[in-house]
Amino acid sequence: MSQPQKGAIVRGAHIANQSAKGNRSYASVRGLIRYIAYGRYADHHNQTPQQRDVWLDHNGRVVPHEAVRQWAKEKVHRYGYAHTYQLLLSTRHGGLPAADFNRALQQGSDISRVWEWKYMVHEDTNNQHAHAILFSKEKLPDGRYKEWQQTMQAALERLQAERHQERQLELEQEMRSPAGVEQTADLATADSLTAAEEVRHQGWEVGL
Amino acid sequence: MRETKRARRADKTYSKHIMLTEFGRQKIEAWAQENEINFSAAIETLALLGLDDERNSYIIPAVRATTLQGIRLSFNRIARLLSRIALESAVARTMAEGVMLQLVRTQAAAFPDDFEERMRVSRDGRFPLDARIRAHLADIADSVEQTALARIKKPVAHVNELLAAGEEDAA
Repeated sequence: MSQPQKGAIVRGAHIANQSAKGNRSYASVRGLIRYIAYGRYADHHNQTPQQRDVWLDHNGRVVPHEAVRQWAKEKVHRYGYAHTYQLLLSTRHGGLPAADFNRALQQGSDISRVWEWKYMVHEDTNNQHAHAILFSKEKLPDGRYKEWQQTMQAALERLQAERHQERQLELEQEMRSPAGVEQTADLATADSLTAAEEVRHQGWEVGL
Repeated sequence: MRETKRARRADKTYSKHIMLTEFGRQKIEAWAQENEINFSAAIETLALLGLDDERNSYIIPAVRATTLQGIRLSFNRIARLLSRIALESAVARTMAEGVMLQLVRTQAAAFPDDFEERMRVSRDGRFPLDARIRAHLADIADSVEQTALARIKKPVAHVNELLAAGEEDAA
């Protein structure tokens, strides 16, 4: 018997901010920041890379890419944060505003003791998802890390369900309206597109 | 009678019943009022002056009374000045605390993980930006000091006015 599919998934990875020689280093984080903002070098095909979306901070304010890099550098080199966590928050149906991803991250703060992050929402793939970067001076114990991840995932699932329900209601209201009746044919087409989208979403767990 | 303004005698006193003419009593009373001492101190001072006593202590009641009156007048003026200074200081402190709290709040909102560390501006020269911040602060302090000195001229003029004013004006 298969388990019900989850509406959202939060996955993470830990990066030690150390060089091969054991010195403090933010090279890995710098590479990650660039990857999140611009994608892989190989994808640019000798063109000037375009930022995929805007960086946002824990207050939901837009942050320039260079400021994100500077923030990460300071965290590692000046304030001695030895650990970076990269999170991937992914939703099954998408359509979440960026603030929802922030809310999900905020839900985990009391567990992780991390209240500060930068994140970017990617809408240019089959599945809407957000990448977040957070710093910690201590590595989270396994149990607490799991609790953190599960708390954020539960929050994101709840938000995803709310948004999905809202969209369904909007759709029903549109169908009941006179204009909606006239557009029945169009909606039938939309349903078929949704079905196609769901097929694509079978592989929705975007790898890091 | 201005009994309330009269000074107490320096030494222990004893009662002595004496008989005076109305003329003598009025003259002594007038002298006492003029010197702002009580009737007994006046009559004792005048008597000792008449005896040409070599000791100077007989002048003490009159001097003491006059000195106390002078101090009382000056104290009112100085107390008013001090209360103004205390008020200015309290206002400045409250405002500075308010600004400081807002600054901490802003930093805490922007950097909730480490705003305490970010509020520190190092002195050891490892961070050039911190050195610039401290240098700029020193420049501001110099400038503010000059401005404060210029502003003090006005209060000093006011102090002179207060000191020149009568007791009723100053109180």
